[in-house]
Order: sequence, then structure tokens, then C-alpha cells
Amino acid sequence: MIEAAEPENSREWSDPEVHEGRLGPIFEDFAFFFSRVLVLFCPQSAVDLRSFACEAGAAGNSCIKDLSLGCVLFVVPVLTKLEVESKVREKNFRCCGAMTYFPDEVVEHIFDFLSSHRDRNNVSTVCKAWYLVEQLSRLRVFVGNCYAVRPERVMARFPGMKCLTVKGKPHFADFNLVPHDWGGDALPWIETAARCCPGLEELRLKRMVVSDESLELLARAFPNFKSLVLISCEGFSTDGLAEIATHCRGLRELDLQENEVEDHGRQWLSCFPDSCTSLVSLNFACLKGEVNTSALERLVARCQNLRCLKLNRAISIESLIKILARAPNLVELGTGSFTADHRTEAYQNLLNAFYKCNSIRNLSGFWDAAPRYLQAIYSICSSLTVLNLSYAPAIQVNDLIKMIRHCFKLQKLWVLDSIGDKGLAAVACACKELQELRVFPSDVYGTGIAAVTEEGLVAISSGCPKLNSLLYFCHQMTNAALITVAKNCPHFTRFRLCILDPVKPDPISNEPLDEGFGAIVKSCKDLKRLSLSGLLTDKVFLYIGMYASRLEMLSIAFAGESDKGMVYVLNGCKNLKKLEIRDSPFGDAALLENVGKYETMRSLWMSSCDVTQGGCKALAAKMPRLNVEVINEREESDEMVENPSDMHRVEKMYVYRTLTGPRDDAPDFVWTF
Amino acid sequence: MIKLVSGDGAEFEVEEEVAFQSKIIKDIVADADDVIPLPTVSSKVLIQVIEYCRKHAAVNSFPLSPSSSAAAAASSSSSISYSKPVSDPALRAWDNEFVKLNNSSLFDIVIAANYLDIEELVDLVLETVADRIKGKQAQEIRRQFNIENDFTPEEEEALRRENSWAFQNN
Repeated sequence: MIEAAEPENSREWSDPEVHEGRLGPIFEDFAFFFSRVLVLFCPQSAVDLRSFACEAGAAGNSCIKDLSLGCVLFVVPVLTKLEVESKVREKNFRCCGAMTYFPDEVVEHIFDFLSSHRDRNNVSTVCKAWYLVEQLSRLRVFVGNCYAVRPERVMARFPGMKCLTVKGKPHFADFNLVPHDWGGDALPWIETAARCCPGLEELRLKRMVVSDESLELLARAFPNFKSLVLISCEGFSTDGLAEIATHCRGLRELDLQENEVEDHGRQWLSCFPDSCTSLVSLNFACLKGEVNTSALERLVARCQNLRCLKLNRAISIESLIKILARAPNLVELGTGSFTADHRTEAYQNLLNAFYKCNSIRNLSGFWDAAPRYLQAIYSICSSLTVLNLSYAPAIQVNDLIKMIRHCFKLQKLWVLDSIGDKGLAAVACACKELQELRVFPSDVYGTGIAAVTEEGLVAISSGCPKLNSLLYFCHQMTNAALITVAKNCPHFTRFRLCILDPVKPDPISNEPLDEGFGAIVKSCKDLKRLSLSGLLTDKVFLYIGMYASRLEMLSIAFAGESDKGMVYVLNGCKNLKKLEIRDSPFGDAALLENVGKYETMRSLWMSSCDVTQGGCKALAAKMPRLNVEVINEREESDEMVENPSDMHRVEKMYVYRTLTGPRDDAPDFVWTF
Repeated sequence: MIKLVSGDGAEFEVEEEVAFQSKIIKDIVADADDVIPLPTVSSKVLIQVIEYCRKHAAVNSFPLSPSSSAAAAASSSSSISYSKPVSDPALRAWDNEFVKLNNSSLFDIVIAANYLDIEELVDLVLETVADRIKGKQAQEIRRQFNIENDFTPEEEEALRRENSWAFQNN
């Protein structure tokens, strides 16, 4: 119940006199107004009784009746004819406008409606009472850098946490720029949670090292564990997965995305006990090894709530057919290899299977897709919203175009660049709802074949007006194309263009691409993430600093001419959270120009730039709350230890703000200044 | 008909199904009388609450399933919990208009709704309050809701830093 009065006054209700209805003489003046009153109140609430007392005044005839609800019913003298006295009203109602008087459970109920981490953080700093309520009620905790805060502190602050997300290595780890044994171990997080937050139900880890030991602990420590999501993690094997399967009895989600998993055989899937029927989502697409298909079929058959199933390359079409027959309600499907072991009647069976699975909206897989089977999915194409063909190099352009023509509801499409400009034109014609497009390179090292060019991108931009997120690997781009794209699609929030050939200028004008990227940042006011490539001068950074006011993450490679470029960005982009730079001529002057900025950002990565050891030291000295880490893997490091020179150029530097000081698990090749 | 009497003495006659949107009133009537004084609720607030109950009683009188309030009444009434969001879009739109009030009026209503145990109305108002908090910095929230900052500047700075350095996702 809500207490609308000054809390200190509530104590008077512990006075037993009140319960007997004998109130002080000051209320007796009002007594003549009343004959009978019914007031119901919960025992912990004081206000109801107090208000009642104010108005009911003195009085006999009270009786208390115990209701089964745990409330107490008072039957007492009541007013028949009430003279409205504004003073009385004011006394009773004046406190209602201030939230300070709301009890904790009401404040907590308000917080139930606040889901974003930012809002939760903001309300926790309003006042101490709110801090406590928020602290005890925060169920989902996000840690953007595992070295910014200690797990002990996280668990101590949010003991009721049910879902924890932790991110480890810097993003450039995706491009093999971060050594394997750099750090980012999940074990301390899982150990601490096991001690302090046994109610943990969900764990999401990105770019962390997750050992089998960690998975074993995880599997046994949390009785209500429901969901494990590992993205770009490494360090574990199918043995660890077997532990999870064996012990997490209520598991709903096992989602393994882009992990490096050591294969110790096919038995892990058969470790799900027969009593396991709770799976809603199972994604093991990244596993390399064979799978026990009969165990998988049985598991799928008994998990009636399964909605997402992403199979790995080891699953043939024959298995897929059997699985689909057991899971008619799937919404997301990863198909597996999509090729048949033998020439059989597979096609007709596959056709029938897909025909029945008409709730599929999200489709991926197709590693070795044989063209003759692709038509089997036409029946569901028209309802697809997500299609990921980025693992499907075997699909020929013409087959792909035939398929895409049926996919007119697509919102998200991931493909290889073998789709070509012609394929992208087909996408532009068919997919009017498209919001996200990713075109990955099929041949990273470049045979010189221009698989997709500016032409495909322009076609997409004119055909898909809702496009707001792009990742586009190509061999060339022009300013004119970028200017057109900026005009056609002003709603980009993510724009990542990767011209595979570094420092390649506009092939038509031979100019840098400054004006093209400038047009993007000018036009797309909501841009949050930007990746640059091609020949770029400092001018592009001038544009970015000037216009990209909402930019949160910027990736720079082989760009710029001088320190000025980086300075424009640091001084301009007010919302920048992550800056990653490689192979660009930015040095100490740029690094040290605006050092306060780094406390407003999550991290700065610079590799193969012109930053020196002296620069790193100076930064660390000026900003003690930053960890300035240098990764030095080269042979000469021994020589450097003996003869450290401030002039020495550092190969890789990673700077991040932290509440805990230097980390204690850094390997020898990581030096913290 | 049930007679509700506000704290300032105004009387309102309402149909049972309107009054029974409040679980408390339902329980009282089941047990005793049909004149129900509500001394902590002003007539201004009671008018608004009755308006809400009348609308929802009308919509709920054609339910596809037993009304959620009956189901909820069976469970414990002492703790505040989520109720199902209002699914009827027209009713949702009406609710959205209903809560276009200043904070002070909203608080009066939520205190009354909590007192009368009208779960849907409590949820509606508190979600509205939450919407007014979303996207705002602590200082704005304090100003908007008249809350005193009892952190020292050092405490506030340390907390702000921990929040944004450790627990912010953008």
C-alpha cells in the first residue's frame, strides 16, 4: 500500500490505542460528522488508518475483523453529513506530489518498466533510496569491458542479477590483431557469480576465453541456469558443452556464434538428458565436427518449444528432413550443409518438409548448397525476414537471384560478394523492406575480380529506402556513388565500407574518397558506427568531427595524413565510445592532444600507427585512471626490455578507462604503463 | 449500485462492475455494505478513478476470457507485480489519453489506485511515470519529481563514473 504521508508520522500507528479506536481529543471536534465508516487497510500501511483517524475522530463501536487476505477491516463511526473543510483536505492530500514519499516497492515497480542500462544507471544516481532500490532490483547487468570493473564489485552491487553480459577482447581481435593468450578469461566472472549470485540464469560472453573448466563450473553452480550465449569466444571444447548439456536441466538457450570450439567428438549432444525438454534455441552452427544426429533428432522431438535451431555443416539434407519433421514450429533455422549424402529422393522430401515449416522467418546455413535443392525453400521465401547466405559459397548467382525474387519481406540479408552487382540489383528490385545488408568477401586475398562495386551499392540504395545498416566489402568505390547513397538512404545508423584494396582512390577521378564519406556523415544524422577505407586524407576526419555528432564507434584503417586527422575526430565526435585505428600516420601529438576524452570513451585501439612508448607513458602519467597497454609480440622485445627507448614505436596500443587499475592477468607481452 | 464517498464528502453512485474494478471494494461489498467511504481519496481523484473504472468495466464486460482482475484477485494482493498489458488497441489509446496529466495528478491517482487495489491502473500510471524518466539524466529526474539529492558530490561522481565506465552499453 502506498504511504502518502510523512514517514516519521507513521510510527504513531504502533500505538495500540489507535487500534482500539480511542484517538486523541484533538479529533473529537469532528466526531459529530460521523456515523459509520468502513476502512480497509493492509497492516504495513499507516496512512489509511491515519486518514481515517483524522476524519473519523473519536469513537466507539469499532470492531476489527480478520479477513482471509491478511488485511484488517475496521467498522467504525462514519460521517453522514460532511462539511467540506479545505484545511482537512489539505492536511490529508498535500504530500501527494512528491515522489520521495513513495515506498520502495512502488519505486521498484516504476523501475520494472525501465529496461535500458542507461535508464537504470540514471535512476540509481537520483538519490540514495533509489540507488538501493535499483541495486537490488537490477536483473540484467551489462559489462562492456571485463577489465573496467572487477567481478566481485559487479556481484556485490547487483546480488539479484539474473542475466550477465560481459565483453572481453577489443573488436580488432576479429581481424587476428589480438594474440590468443591476451586475456579476457571468463573464469573469474563465473567463479564470482557462483559465490555471490547463485540465482544467475543467463550468461552472455563476447570475445572471451571460456575454458572447459569454466563451462563445468557454470553447468554445476547455477540451479536455475537457462541461457548461455557465447559470441566469438574461444578456449573450450565439446567436452565443456557436454557438461552444460548434462547439468543444466532447465536450459532454454545454447547459442554458439562464431566461436572456435575444439572438437572432441560427437557425443556432447547425447548428453542432454531425456528429461531435457526445455530448449527454445539451439545454435551450434560454428562447430566443426560430426554430430550425433539421432541424439539430435530425439532432442528436437522432445523440445516442443524449440523455435530456433541452427545446425552445423556436418548435418546433411537427409538429417535436416528428419529434424524439420520433428520441429514444425521453428522460426529460425540454420540448414546445415544443405547437400545430400546420396542421390536419393531427398528433393521431394525436403520440399514437403519446408512446406510444413511455414513459420520459419530466419534462414541461414547452406554451406555446400547443391543448386537442385534450393527450390525446396521457395515455399517459405515469401515469409522470410532474415536470410544469411554468408556461409554459402556454392550458391551460384543465377540460383541466388531466383531465390531472392521470392523474398520480398526480407529485412536483413547477409551474402557473399559473389552475388555481384547483378545480384544486388535483383535484391534492390525485390526487397523493399530491407534494413540491413552485409556483403562479405568470398576471396579476401583478392584475385582482382571486382565482385561487387559501387554500382551494386547504388542500386541497393535506390531500391531499398529503409536500409539503415550496411557492411560492404568491395574492391572499389567512387565519391559519386557515396554521395548518391547518402542522398538515397539518410537513415544509416551503421555504415561500414571495406575496400579490400587499401588506399585505393576513386577509380574514376583518382581522388581520395573524402567527399564521399563526408556526404555520408553529413546526410546520416543518426550514424552510430562508421568504418572507413580507401584513399583518405585528413579532410574526411574534418567532416566526421564536424558532422558525426552521434557517432559511437569509428574504425579507421590506412587513412589520414597527419595528427590533425585524429585530432578532428577526438575534438569533434561528442558521443564517441570506441575508436580503433590501424596503419594510419597518427602519433604522440594526436594521442596526447585531448587526453580527457579517453575517460569519456570505452576504449582506444591503435596498431601500426606512429605512437611511441614515450607517448604511452605520457598518457598513462596524465591519466591515472586509464590502463595504457602495449602489446609487443616481436622478437626484439627482449632487446627493448633491456634497452627501453621512449622513441620506440609501439606496435599495438590498447587504452581503456578502468575502476580497478592495471589488470593482474596480463601476459608477458602486454605491458601496462 | 454502490455509493462511494470521497474524503471530502462527495458521493458517487456507480454500478457494481465499475466499482469492482477495485479488488478492495469488491471484498468490502462481499463482506458488508454498499456505502463505501474512501477517506484518503479526494473527490477530484475519485472522479478520475471512476472514469477509468467505468471505461475498463465497459470494455471488460465483453471479455473473451475471464477478466484478468478475477484471476489476479486469486493470487496474493500484497505484492506489486506485472499485470498483462492492455491488449485492446482502442482501450490502450484511451489509457494513453487518460494519463496525460501532470506528475502530481498522476501520483494522486496511483496512491488511490494502489489503495483501492486496481492493478491495471497502478501499472498504467507507473509505466507512464517510467516513460517520463526514460532518457533523462539524474538531475532532470530530481527536478521533475521534486526529489532531493542526498549524495555528496564525491559519492555522486564515483557512482556516475562506475555506472558509465562499467555498466553502460553505449
